[in-house]
Amino acid sequence: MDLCVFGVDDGYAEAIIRGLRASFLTEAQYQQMKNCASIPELKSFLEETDYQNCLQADNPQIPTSILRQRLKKKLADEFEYIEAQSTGTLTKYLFHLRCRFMIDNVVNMIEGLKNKIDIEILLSNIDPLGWFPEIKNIKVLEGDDYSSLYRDVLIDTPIGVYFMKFLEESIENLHENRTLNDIQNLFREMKPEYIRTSLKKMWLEDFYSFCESELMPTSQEALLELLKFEADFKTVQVIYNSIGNRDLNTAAKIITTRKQLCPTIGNLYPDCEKVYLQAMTLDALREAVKGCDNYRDLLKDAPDPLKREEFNVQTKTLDDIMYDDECRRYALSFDGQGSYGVFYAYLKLKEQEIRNIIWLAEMISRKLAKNHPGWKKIIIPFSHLGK
Amino acid sequence: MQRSQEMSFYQLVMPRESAWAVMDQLGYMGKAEIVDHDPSIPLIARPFANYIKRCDDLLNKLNLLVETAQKLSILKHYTITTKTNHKMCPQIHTHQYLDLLEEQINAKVNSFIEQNRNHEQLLEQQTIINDQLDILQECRMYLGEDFFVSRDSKIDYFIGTLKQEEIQQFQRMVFRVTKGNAFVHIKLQNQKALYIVIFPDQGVILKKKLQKVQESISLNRFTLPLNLKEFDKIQNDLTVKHKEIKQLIELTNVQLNSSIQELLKQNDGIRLLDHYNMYISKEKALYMQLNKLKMQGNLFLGELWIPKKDSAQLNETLLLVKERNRDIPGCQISQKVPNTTPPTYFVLNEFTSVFQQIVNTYGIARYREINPAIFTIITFPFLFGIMFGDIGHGFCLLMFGIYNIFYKFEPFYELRYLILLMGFFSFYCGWIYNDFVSLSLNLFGSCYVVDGQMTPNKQHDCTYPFGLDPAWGDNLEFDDSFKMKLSVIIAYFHMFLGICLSGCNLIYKKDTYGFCCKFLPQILFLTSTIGYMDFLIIFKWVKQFNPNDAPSIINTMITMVLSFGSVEGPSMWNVNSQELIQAILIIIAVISIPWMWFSHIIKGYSIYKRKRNTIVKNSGQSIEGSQVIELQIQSILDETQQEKSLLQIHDHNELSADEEFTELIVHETIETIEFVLGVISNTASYLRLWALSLAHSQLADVFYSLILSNSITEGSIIGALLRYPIWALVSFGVLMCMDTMECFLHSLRLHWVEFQNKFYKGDGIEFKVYSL
Repeated sequence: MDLCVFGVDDGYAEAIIRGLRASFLTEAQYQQMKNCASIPELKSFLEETDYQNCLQADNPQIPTSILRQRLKKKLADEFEYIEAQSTGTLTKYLFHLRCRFMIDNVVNMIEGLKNKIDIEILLSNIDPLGWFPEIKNIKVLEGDDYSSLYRDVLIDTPIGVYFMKFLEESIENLHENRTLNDIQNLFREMKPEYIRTSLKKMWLEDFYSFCESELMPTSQEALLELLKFEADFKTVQVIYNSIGNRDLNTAAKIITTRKQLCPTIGNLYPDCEKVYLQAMTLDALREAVKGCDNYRDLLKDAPDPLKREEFNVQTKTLDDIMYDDECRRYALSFDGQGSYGVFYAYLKLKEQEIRNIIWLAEMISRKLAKNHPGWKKIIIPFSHLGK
Repeated sequence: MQRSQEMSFYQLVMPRESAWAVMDQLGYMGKAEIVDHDPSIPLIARPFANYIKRCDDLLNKLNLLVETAQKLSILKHYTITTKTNHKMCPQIHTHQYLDLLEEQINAKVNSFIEQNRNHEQLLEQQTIINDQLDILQECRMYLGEDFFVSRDSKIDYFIGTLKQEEIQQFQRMVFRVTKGNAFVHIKLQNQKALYIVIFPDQGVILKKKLQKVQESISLNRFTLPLNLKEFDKIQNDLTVKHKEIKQLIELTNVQLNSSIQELLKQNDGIRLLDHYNMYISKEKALYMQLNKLKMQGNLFLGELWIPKKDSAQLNETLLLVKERNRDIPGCQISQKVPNTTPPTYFVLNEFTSVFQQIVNTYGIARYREINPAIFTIITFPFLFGIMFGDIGHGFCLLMFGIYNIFYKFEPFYELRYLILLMGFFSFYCGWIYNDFVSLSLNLFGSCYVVDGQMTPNKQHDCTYPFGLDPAWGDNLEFDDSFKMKLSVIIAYFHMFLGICLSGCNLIYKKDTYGFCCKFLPQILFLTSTIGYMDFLIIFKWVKQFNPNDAPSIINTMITMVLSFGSVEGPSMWNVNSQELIQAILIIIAVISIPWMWFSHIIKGYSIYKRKRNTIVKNSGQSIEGSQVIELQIQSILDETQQEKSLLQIHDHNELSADEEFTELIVHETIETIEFVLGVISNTASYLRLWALSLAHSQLADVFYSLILSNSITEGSIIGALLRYPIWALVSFGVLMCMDTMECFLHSLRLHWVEFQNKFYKGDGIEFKVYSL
């Protein structure tokens, strides 16, 4: 039923996205990009593609960080345009999508300030997709006082809700008769990466419930599927990364941290929760997820996290494997009709494309030999569909 | 214009050094098309990609310069002309001239941008000073004179400016940071907001926090002077500084202006900026063409098409290049047998180009095929005129066309000759219909008196001199019958012309078999059916019948087809001869169908059989063992290339001989069915001429009778004056705009579908001339 009326409100926005499908680089173009000998050459190649306008003003020897910024800016502009063309639920939905980038930006800012990096540099490095006007006020952050950061700045930003939840949770986890000092200690020891993961987990859960409650059935079907996988991947990642992590020295601590960071949605939750929380080796993790679909296959190729020191560029890390699988899912979802999945997929695939370009730019700027395995480490959107 | 120009194919071989000079001259000659040797190569992989990039960069820079200058309103009413002009561009240069220009432009643009940056900085400083002055003023007003005299040390202040859209955010932040212990005063001024934050001096932490808030949000921050003396001093300093900066700004303005003027200096009648633009655009176009050439070591291989009649000029041009550049090796040119179909090229002028455009939109003519555009020039506006026929409206359109020719009216300038002819023919058809915005003009004295019936008022042989007798003006039945018959007659002649053109094409190709077996049966079929009907129409018009036993054309046609030529009811002329003629026509029509259907199939079958035989023979030969070896030896001796191509052809034949033949059968069957049905359905399609003409006159009639006629018959002048604008507007909107469009589209359809499907292949390639 909702397919009949989808076009009424969201047809235009969807049509724009479908038009933008043509802007994805093709495999042949990637091949040409790999053949570029220098950054100026790569830049002039990109000027032949859809990225033409966003690069024209720069000088040929563009640093990769600026290149990334330009590419992201273009994506953000497109996204903003679509947002401006949307109404009702779609606007809310698109805004939810942006929240993820906002979280990233805020955490990056916090991390940067902690490391005493100049605010101007931080501001110039923020992801344009997750820009919001209050972001520059994060400067107010004093030391590790996250609660006052929340109170002063983040409270009326879109991600304030998540931040509040995060603060509440972390304070609750302390023992009963806590003092102000304890709280301060807690914050001092908290790693930005930890904040990021837990904020994102909350975002994901929130987004999931939003999709569940507000979207039409077709969109729901497509998105819930995608989000479940994303949640599962997050879970696997958390477990995987905590295996052999030296900061989490006791088993109890590992389990509580994991419990905090693993999303409470997805195919693995709650059935396998008990098992995976206890998994202390890669094999145990494999055992834990074996019941679900293709996770076992994915993990089969993953390198052992206990031998992290032996990793090098050639290693296909778990992230790479997962990106690859995700990319396939998004490409499939992009071709689905009449669902909001297409917006999500577009964003994700474009992100992947930018990641590819930046990766290649890095490879080129380091002048690595053409037979270096790193050249193969790109995941080309839509390349799975042909096979 | 009737057929495409004959094209010759040349191969150009030149060393790298002379490539630029040769292409330069070829571009100025503007007669040839350079063939891209491999269109799939991306621009970046082509030999001159970096030159094109340089040109692009320079053009961008010039654009940027013009844009900034326009923003500063130094340069008004200037648009960049990228159109290169033959005479305005210096003809003889070496390609090093680009380097020279690049240097010049870079220097000029950079200095201009530098100046502009200074200018902007100064402006920024000026606004900061302005802001400070404003806020000092505001503080004095808001806090009062007393404040500066006796200052309360327990209270601290922050002042500054911020963007208007950030006021709320700022206020909230201050509120939250100070937990409500601060007061913010905001004043809106010049798209900015001045703020004064008043807060208790409670210690360093609060102050530091507030300072951070202030830093992150406000545009500029200032310190508040402590007493009146300091206040005045600051104010005076600022005013002095303000004046200085103002002077500096004026100075830079003059500088900017002079550098722009330098660029606008006339040099040989061209402004320097235009010269830059034109030269660089030209250079870019040239390198684009150079990129199409194939590079082999130090040699460039190029292939080009040129109209046969201009090929002498090609040699001259190349000689000229050789003469001019004696120091570099010249190029060689040789005529070649093309391996692709030549492009289609018509020599057009501003009159014919719009009609060619109409045809080209459907498809470019096949090489050396008859160009329908030449007939379209008259038939298109004429068919339009039949549909749009009205003296008044036609006259307006005609006038608009004439106006457009003398005074350019941009949106329709390209179409001016089309509109002129359309206007002329609708004007003419209007006279034929005797229809002036739904009224009939009685200029020559009608031959009838209308008194319920039509009675001739004059002598028996009275004829209205031109067009319809006004007495028929309101008679819809008469109009219908007349226009319907007219459209069928036009249908016949238009399609007849189309088939004749296909005949001409066959003759041109020397395809006698096709001429006999396609053109002849087609024309016979058309003539024996629709042609005969047209004959009956005209015959009935000419001959006088007694109204009670006049033969009906429709009945005649139907009984002719159904009962083999016999006549029922009254006959047109002698019953026996009519029946005989009709029977003969039926026989011709019926025979011509299998004639056009099977003739090509039979021919195809004989070819198919011959092929089969040769194939069988070939395979028979190769089975004999000894010969296989011989063949193998021979094949080694033969050039491998030749062998390969032969084998390929062989394979191709073997595979598709059967398929080809079945395809031929299907193709011929479809074509025949399409033609036979088409004769009937296309004729019916021409009835749109009648329908649209009727719609036009009826609409005009409705508007006139509903809006104007009442007040005119009642004789109230005021009423007529009031209603006239409404009528004029409606007539303009519906008839002059919408109906013109509609008639245009229908005329287009009649040409594209009914006319051109008889002969026009339309699968050619356009000749894109390379011209600088």
